Amino acid sequence: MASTMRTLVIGLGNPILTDDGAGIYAARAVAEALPPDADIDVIEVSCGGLTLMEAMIGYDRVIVLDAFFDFQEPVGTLRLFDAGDLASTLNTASTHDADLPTALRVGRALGASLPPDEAIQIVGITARDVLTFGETPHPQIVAAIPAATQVVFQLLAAQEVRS
Amino acid sequence: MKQRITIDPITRLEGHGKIEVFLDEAGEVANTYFQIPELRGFEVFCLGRPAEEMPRITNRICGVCPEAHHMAASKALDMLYHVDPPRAGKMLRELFYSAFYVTDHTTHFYALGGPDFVVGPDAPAAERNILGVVAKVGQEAGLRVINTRKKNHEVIQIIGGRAIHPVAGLPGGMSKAINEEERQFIEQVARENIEFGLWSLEVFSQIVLNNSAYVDLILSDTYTQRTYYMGLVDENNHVNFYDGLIRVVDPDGNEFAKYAPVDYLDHIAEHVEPTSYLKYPYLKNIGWKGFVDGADSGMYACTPLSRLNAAEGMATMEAQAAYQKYFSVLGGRPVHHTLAAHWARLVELLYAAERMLELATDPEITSPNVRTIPTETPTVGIATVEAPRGTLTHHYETDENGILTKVNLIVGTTNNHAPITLSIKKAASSLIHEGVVNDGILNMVEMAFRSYDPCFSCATHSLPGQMPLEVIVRDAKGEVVDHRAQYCTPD
Repeated sequence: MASTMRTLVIGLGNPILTDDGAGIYAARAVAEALPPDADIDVIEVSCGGLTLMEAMIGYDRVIVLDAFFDFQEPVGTLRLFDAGDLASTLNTASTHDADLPTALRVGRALGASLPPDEAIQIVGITARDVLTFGETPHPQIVAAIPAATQVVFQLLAAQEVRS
Repeated sequence: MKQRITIDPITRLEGHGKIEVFLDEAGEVANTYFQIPELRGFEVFCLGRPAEEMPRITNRICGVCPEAHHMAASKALDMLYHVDPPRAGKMLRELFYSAFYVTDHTTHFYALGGPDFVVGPDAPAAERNILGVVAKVGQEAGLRVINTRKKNHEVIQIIGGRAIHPVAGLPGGMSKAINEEERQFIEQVARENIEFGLWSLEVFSQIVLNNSAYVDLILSDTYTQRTYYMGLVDENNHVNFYDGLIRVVDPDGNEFAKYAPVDYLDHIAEHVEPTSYLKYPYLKNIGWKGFVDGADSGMYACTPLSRLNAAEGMATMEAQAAYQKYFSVLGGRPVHHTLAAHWARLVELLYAAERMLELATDPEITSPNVRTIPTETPTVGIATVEAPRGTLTHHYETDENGILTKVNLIVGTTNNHAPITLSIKKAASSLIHEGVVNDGILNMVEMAFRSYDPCFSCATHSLPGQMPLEVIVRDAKGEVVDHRAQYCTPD
């Protein structure tokens, strides 16, 4: 059955900051693998907070691919969580804006059409060097892209079953 | 026994700025350090690339003000290729930049700087954010902020080619013109921006200026320092964000220097401290005298407050009226009260809106002649724009094929590094006594640097959030005797 659910895939990160481009590379891989008639939008975003929230307006479901900085895990390890986990699991910070959970609360309080927290799923790709300018990510980041892409397609398939 | 307090705004990806406060045995502030992380290898990353890539590369180094880097880079390429854009090309760039200023200043006032005043400097941290502003001012505030951002992002996309990381700036002008339909939309947005700017100043007046406690806070010695001030000015010494000469005034408001951006190395030198990766620019012709203010110290600031100090007025009517009221209430030019930067930011927001309308209604703005094609051999390009958070200079040099051999950027937060450091020291020394530290005091220390709208390292952030704050108090043996955290991950 065709789904009327509007789905957005966001590649988040900075493609010139070594491993920070992981989410962008994964989103590009998803875009290439999607059938031409797929009713799914894929975008790249290098900003957070209000801008990131605004990019989600009008969608029923969002999958965010992002580099995840964690010294405990091997580079390339994937993690899956949703927006509801953000406040308590990530040291997310901006010097200029609001954090994503706050931005989402603002958007919802003002009546913006935003997906619920559990429909904003985040696929984290463990990164190591996100402070050096470069366009060549760690080899294990490159190696993790197919698996990250697969996770996105599994999430998309699960959505179709439910809808 | 010395205590050590660390205010550590941890970020996940962009590194972190850190404030360290060292107390003496009596619990008074002995010294403070402010550290900003520096991203590595940007120059190396750029060298060997064609210079014309810079407007698209440099706008990737910052998730907060890519438009400012895009403009500085495009202007630097004009000089590098010895080419002068046609009038419509320059106007389009400034129109684009004005829309960006409206969004950036709006975001800072309502989401970051404003909550300290609108909600209260010692309000619970969980309420000191844009949601708290909406709760206090009303839902209209939130709707207006979101609407202003949305509309101006559309303008940025129309002119810049992309909503977030613009691509339209090229050596010699812009890659495309706008049509009449687009112009009409931009004109309408500009008119709404003016209404929004006036309304925001009214909000500031009612909530901050009508509250004597807030006015006392702004005027207090805690947030006052007498430095030199820098900003771009036009031929009438009015504030300009896109182009002009760099004007520096002394702590009494007298013109100290006025120079073309290409001569910046004759006026600016950089001091190095072992405690920070980031350098401290200072006025070469005064000299580095340490973290002290006054006419004998080469320390300068370049913030909205500084730009208003460094200029003699605003080029548009309503902004000029707001400028006059600002200096009238605060005791004349220059204003040395760093928290007044929030008010100055709103004066600038109004100017950006009015300038946007002027440009959008210029008969030549839809001209298809937006670019002069470069024909000469590239050499050296140096250009300056005012980024919302400070003067931004790009300097490139290339070989005869336009391949980069030198890249130097001085960004706004770097220019403000020394005065931010001094502001933190003054605030901490004034607020922390007998070793007593609490969240309200720490927020008031943080307010000292938040007024600068700092942007650490021009780093793009992924999933950014509010700046977490960690405070560690250590005894002489390095043992943690107190630990406080705001916005931090629970252990």
